[in-house]
Amino acid sequence: MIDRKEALKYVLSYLKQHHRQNSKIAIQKTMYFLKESGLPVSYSFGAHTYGPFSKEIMHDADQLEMEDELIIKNVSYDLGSAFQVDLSQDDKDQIEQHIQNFIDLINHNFDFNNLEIYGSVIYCRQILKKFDEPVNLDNVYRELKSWKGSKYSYSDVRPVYESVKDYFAL
Amino acid sequence: MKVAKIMNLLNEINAKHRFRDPIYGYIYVTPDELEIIDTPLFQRLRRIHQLALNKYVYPTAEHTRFVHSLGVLQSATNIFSSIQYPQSSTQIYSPTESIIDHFKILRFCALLHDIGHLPFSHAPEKLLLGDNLTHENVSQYIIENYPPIKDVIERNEINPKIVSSLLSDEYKPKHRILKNIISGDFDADRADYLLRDSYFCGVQYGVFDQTRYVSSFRLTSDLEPAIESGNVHTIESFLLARFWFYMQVPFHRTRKGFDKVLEQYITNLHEQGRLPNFGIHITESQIQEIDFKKFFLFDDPSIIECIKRDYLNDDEFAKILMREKHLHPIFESNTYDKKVKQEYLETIRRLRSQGLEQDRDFFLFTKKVDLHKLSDRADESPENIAPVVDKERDDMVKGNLIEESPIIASLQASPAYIRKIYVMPGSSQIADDVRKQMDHERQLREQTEKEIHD
Repeated sequence: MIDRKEALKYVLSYLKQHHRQNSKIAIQKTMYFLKESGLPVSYSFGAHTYGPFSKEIMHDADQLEMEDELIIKNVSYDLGSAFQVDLSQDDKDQIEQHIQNFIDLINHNFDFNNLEIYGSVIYCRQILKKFDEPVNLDNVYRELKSWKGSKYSYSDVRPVYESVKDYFAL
Repeated sequence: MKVAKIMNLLNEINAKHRFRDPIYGYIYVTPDELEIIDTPLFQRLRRIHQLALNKYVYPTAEHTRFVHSLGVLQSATNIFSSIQYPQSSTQIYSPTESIIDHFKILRFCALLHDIGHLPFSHAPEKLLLGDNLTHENVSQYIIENYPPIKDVIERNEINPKIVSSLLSDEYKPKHRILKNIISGDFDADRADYLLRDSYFCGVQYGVFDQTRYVSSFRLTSDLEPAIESGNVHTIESFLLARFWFYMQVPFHRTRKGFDKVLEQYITNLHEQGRLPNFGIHITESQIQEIDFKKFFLFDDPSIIECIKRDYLNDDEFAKILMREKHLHPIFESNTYDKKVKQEYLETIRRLRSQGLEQDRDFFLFTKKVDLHKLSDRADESPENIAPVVDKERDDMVKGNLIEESPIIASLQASPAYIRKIYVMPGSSQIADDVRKQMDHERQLREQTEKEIHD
């Protein structure tokens, strides 16, 4: 296991430095993807309003704020005066590789809705697997519809599902 | 509360047994639920106190996880029966999973949500289960693998994994409403323990209007939990009750001191190999197996027996846990003030420089306490925090709770940042000297600043 708080800090600093991203949704969905694609971090994610969401990330951020490592804004984070990452180079390389995969998957598009739909489709796919149900577009769409009502159409979901399927098949 | 609707649902599932209860009057159960309640592992909850050592602060807080579990069963039932569904509710229910199936899943989960609790509730969790597991993982394992419970759930044609998934974050999206009732926005768990713990502590901090509260919610057409506009004050009262309760009961200065000592005492037992075998086998952050016979016997009294033995051998922590000696609180603050934080850090630095060691000679407790969990939903976007709907206008979303409630808006911006330092009795003189010296230095600083100002 990689220390999850250190992994979170590294994702925060990497996304901010290399992609100018520090929104909470970017951090949440990136961490979710990292976990589902095999990075050993212990965050758990539930089906929230805008896709998979980890309260543990929020609680860790609160703790980092108390230690001056983080500044929590309305919908984003900034690095605090005491910010410091304590990870081995191997762990950093591993995290960077996963982040890059995620950025490729979402076509370098960090828009709110894009992050939401990618996160949500991956969640539905993983939950079908967990309950040993067939993983296909129809079932993923059914799960998504029971979660988000009519917010996303079948044609919105299809391309996202196809790219997620291709990525996880690799 | 729509009593007729609740009774109709209870009749449909044959909830023909009932227990008297000081919070709800009666708690109704089905024969199958009664069978679960009578299993050894559920009866074990009679020996796990709900509030651990809070009874050292509030003497009547002697109630257990057993009665709380029954309470959450009733609380979840009341909320489920009262939620108003949108026209699109057909998306939730289907011929293969009816409203009654969902009701049964919810009730099994509510009843069993705490069945994996360790002695003294949260105190030994991190030590015994590691950083990545909690009592909820133990509850999940029991639901999926303990035959006397698993068999009853399967007899109802319900997959136990569905029930256990609601205690985790990995549940089917169509069960999101059930998850919200158990531990999310609707929060049957909290709704019960605020009232029950307040009742048994003899305090009013956690009291709110539960009758109105459970009927305060609707689902929007996007299936988002929402508050009816006429019920904003009810939610305000619930959130304030929660905040006051946390600050005065579980985070009470004396209670947290006992928690810290208990955690360290159990750590010592564990490191010395003297902790009773509790039967949970963990490898790589996964529960591999639970020996149910051993787990059945792992309860508050099994730790108390260790404390009594160590008390006779002059163990300093055991003396505190037996209330013969007392921790000395030397620092306490609830604000984010930077000066206060510096003072806190400087106090710790000076205690260390005097040779005192954390978790041996002194203890720390820090916690940020937000007014409410609804801010969870604000974490990614501020636009959809707890929507407020107008039921007279076809459930149109008219705003969110922050916009509709000036009280919530103002308190949301200023959470409590709790910082406490406690010192063992043997080190209290050193700590007092440290604090006196710091007070003296502060007075000199203030005097100098005043002189410069004048």
